[in-house]
Amino acid sequence: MIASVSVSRRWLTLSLMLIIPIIVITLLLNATGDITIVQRLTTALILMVAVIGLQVFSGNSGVISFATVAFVMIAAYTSALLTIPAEQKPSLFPDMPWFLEWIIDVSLPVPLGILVAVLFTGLIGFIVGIPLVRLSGLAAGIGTLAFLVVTTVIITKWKSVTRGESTMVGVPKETTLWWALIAVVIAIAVAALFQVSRRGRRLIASREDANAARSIGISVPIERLWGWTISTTLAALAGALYGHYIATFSAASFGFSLTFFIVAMLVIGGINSLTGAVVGVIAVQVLSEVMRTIETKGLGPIPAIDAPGLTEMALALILLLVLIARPAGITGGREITALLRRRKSAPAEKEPASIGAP
Amino acid sequence: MLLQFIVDAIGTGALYALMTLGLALVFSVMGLMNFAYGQLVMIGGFSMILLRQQPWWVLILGTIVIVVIVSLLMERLAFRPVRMATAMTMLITSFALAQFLAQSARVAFGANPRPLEQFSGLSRQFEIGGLFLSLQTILTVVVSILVMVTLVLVLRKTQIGAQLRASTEDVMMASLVGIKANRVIAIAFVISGVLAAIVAMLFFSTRTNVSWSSGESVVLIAFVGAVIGGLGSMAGAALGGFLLGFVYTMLNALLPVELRVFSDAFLYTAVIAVLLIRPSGIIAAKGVRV
Repeated sequence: MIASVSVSRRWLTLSLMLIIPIIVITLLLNATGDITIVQRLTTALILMVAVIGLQVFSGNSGVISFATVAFVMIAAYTSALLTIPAEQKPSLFPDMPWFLEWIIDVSLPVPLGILVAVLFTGLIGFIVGIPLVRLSGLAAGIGTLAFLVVTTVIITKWKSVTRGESTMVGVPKETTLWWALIAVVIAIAVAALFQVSRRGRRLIASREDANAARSIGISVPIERLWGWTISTTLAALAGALYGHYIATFSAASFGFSLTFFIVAMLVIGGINSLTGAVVGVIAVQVLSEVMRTIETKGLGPIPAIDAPGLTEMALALILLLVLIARPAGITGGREITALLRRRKSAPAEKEPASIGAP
Repeated sequence: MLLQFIVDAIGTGALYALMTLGLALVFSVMGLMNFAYGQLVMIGGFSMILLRQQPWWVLILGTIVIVVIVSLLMERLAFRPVRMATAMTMLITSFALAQFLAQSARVAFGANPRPLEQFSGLSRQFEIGGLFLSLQTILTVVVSILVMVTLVLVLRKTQIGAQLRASTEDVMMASLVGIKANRVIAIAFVISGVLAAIVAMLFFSTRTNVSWSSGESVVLIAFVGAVIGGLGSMAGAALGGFLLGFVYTMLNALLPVELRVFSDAFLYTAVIAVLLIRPSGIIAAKGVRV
């Protein structure tokens, strides 16, 4: 896929410039030894994998998707079903349908469970992607949202397999900070590789001008399907890791609020660049910490305000302000490589007017 | 028995038609799918709780006024600044606004649902020839018909209606011939607010509580109705909403129990299918593309 030395160099530079700061931050925060900090950091890194996943599709194609969390859920449940110890399964799933009965005897080691779940979810992503990537603009928003609803309904109502509204229990809790960090490194490497690859450039071309892209022989649905499949696979990786991190979960642990968080992080950072995905997660996470401190302890002169929902309210407000004042996000949709170059030589670049296609 | 289901289904259909209309009106004027529309209905519900001690006419007028003010603020503060942006930006803006309003309500009224006494008398049932008709169903159907007739009259007979219709056809062209886009869009939001308030009163008078998350289900219903009816067509939207409510009630009454729980999954799969096969809706609107 990599055509020349300069492309592979661009891939390495972009990935390393994002990966190294993340590793440094992780090591520093881990050195504090504070258990709460390490927990929040692990969650943030897992979320980052999902946000990077969304960026691979939405950022490069200019088409929004609200379906990320659907794949997060599918992978979390799949990996849980494959790794829950076999002796617990008969009591947890007494009514398992005949075509899934073999699962009762299966008890994979967690890394293998995650791998199988990611591949399986990626395959589902590919299959549902075939029709879904044909939608653009508003229809894509509604279509992917509808898919999220369908997935949520099936998971909540298919009691014999998913335990319905009861929580999944007995899921091995094995995800550590280091697993999450490795997943982020993989996600960044894959996303950067796709972006500099020929397929990625074709997809970006179709985002900038779909008709012009078609006129030079680019098949927009095929290029989108590539981005979509990589995107859903990364969402699956995040979901499988998350399942083995929180260990007890139900469909209510994900839902619309997680969808909102993921979309908010990406848009605040800047949807058109991979750097935006990384920066957005960090910015929103810092903001959430500040708000959480205000909710529980108060911050400086601000007294503690005990009001559940305050964090989400502040986040929604900031997202609104970003959309109105700086729709291309904090990074303006540029990569860290371009941002640093600009600081050195400072050419006055024109601000993109809005997210996605002009 | 079947006739009873049909009567109930007509009641639900009428309510869903109203829900869909409020969403479709704004969409047809400015191409905005307003996620936050459901939150207007939620805010209407909380207004009813705040005003429940007042005489009935204060309750009705007060709820309408509060919801219309929020609707107008929404347009002025959030949507006007992004009106020229891409469909994606507008969609995310309305998504963020919906989340902001829901969470604000959660902070203001608490995370637990607030009780709302059933409006006495509305649930009273009449028996006519073996059929049970609640006052609620009759009221919903009558109000829906009245609202739709009024809306049609406003759109057909008044000058502002003509401007609205012109803008739904082609907002660029309309502004070229001197129709002020800001004014027309603001009026669309006022009408959408009035519809949301009426929906809130009909919807919550059958329930026992209002919660900060009540808006979500309403906007999802309106979405599906609008997609089925054809985005951008008002008649299509009303018909789409009605069909949705009708089919949904019938499905829930007639499907075997094991499948009934999945009725939402069938419904939303149908939405995706409609978007792919007939993007202009089952009841297609002329000249409108998604």
